[in-house]
Amino acid sequence: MQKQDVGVLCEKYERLVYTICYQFTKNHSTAEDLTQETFISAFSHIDTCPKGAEKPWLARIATNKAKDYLKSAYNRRVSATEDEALDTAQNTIAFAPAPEDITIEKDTVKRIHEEIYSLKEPYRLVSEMFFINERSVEEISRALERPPKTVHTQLYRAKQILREKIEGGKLNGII
Amino acid sequence: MELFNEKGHLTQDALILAINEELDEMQSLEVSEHLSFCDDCLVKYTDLLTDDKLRIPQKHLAPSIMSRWHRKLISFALSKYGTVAAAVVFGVAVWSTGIFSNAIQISQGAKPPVTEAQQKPSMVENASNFIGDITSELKSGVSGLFGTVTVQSEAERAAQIQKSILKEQARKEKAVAKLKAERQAAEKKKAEEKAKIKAKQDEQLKLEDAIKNKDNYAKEETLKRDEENINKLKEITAK
Repeated sequence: MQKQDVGVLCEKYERLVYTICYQFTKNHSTAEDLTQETFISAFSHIDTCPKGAEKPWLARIATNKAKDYLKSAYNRRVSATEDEALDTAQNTIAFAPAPEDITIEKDTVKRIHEEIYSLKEPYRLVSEMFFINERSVEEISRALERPPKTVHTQLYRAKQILREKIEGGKLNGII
Repeated sequence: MELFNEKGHLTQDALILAINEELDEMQSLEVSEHLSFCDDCLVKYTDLLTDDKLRIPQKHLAPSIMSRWHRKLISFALSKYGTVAAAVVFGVAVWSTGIFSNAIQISQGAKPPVTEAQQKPSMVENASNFIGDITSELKSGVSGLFGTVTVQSEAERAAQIQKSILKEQARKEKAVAKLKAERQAAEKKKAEEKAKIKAKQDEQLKLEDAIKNKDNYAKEETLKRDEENINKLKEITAK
C-alpha cells in the first residue's frame, strides 16, 4: 500500500471499521472516535499492510482499538468498585506469596482445582497452566499463541471469577 | 452460550452474536481481545461482515479523518524541520568554534601551523558544504515524506515565490529593452529616409533653378542680340 492510497482506503472501509467499533462498544460517538483512531493508526503504518488484505488488516486494528477502549472502561469500573487488593494482574501475580510458602488445607486445594477446571474459555487453559501446572506467563503465551499481555489480563479476570465463586474472599491471599 | 471452544477459539455462535450486536460488555471485551491476536477467527469474523450487515455512520467520517491525518502530517513535518534546523544551528555554532579543524589537525599529525588567513576559507567552505548537505537532505526528506500530500515549509514557499517574481521581472525588463531598441532603430531608419527624400528634393529644386536660370540667360542673350540688331538697324537708317 502506498501513502496516496489512504483516501481511497478511508472511503472504501469507513463503514466496515465503524461497524466493528459499534458492534463492540454499542455507542455511536465512541464508535466514531474509534473509527477515526483506527484510520489514523492504519495510515501511520500503511507500509505494513499486506497487499490485498486490507479488510482483515483494518478489522484487526479496529478490534484492537475497541478492545483497548473496553479494557480501560472495565478497569476504571473495577478499580472504582474494588479494593486495592484487586490491583493489576501483574502486581497481584508478582506480589503473591510463593506457592511453597503457603500452607493450604487439602480440601481447599481440591476445591480451587475444581473451580479452575470448571472455568470457561478463554480462562480455563491459562488458569490451569498457571495455577496448577505452575507455568510462567511467557510459557503459557508461547503454548497458547496468545500475547503475554492478554495472558496477564485473562489470568487477572480468572482470579476475579474464582474469587466470586469461592465464598466471599475467604481465599484472599491464595489466589 | 459458549463463546469459546475447547481450543480457545471463538465459536460460530460467538461470531454471530458479535455480528448481531448481542454481546454484553464482558463478552465484547473477551471477543475483541481474542480477535486482536487470532488470525483464523478474525478472517471468519470479517467474512461474516457482508455489506448488508454494515452500519452507516451518523455523519460521513472520511473528511474529518483525512483532515486530522493532514494535520498530523503537518505537525510531524514541522517538528522534524525544527529538529533539523536546531541541529544545523548547533552544528554551525560548534563548527565556527574551530573544534573540528583543531581535531583534524591533531589527527593528521604535526604539520606546519596554518595561519588564520589560510584557515578561514576552508572553515567557511566546510560550513557551507555542511549546510548544503543538511538542506538537500531535509528537502528530499520532506518532499518524499507524504506522497500526494506535499507539505512545504513557509520559508521554502516564500523563497520560491520570490524567485518566480524576480524571474518574471527580469523577463519583463528584457522585453522592454528589446522594444526600446527596436523603436530606436525604426526611428533612425525613418530619419535617414526623410533625409534622403529631402536631399533628392533639394537636388531637384537646384536642377529646376539651373534650368530656369539657363532659360533666362538664353532669353537675355536673345534680347541683347535683338537690341544690338535694332541699334544697328537704327544707325543704318540714320545714315
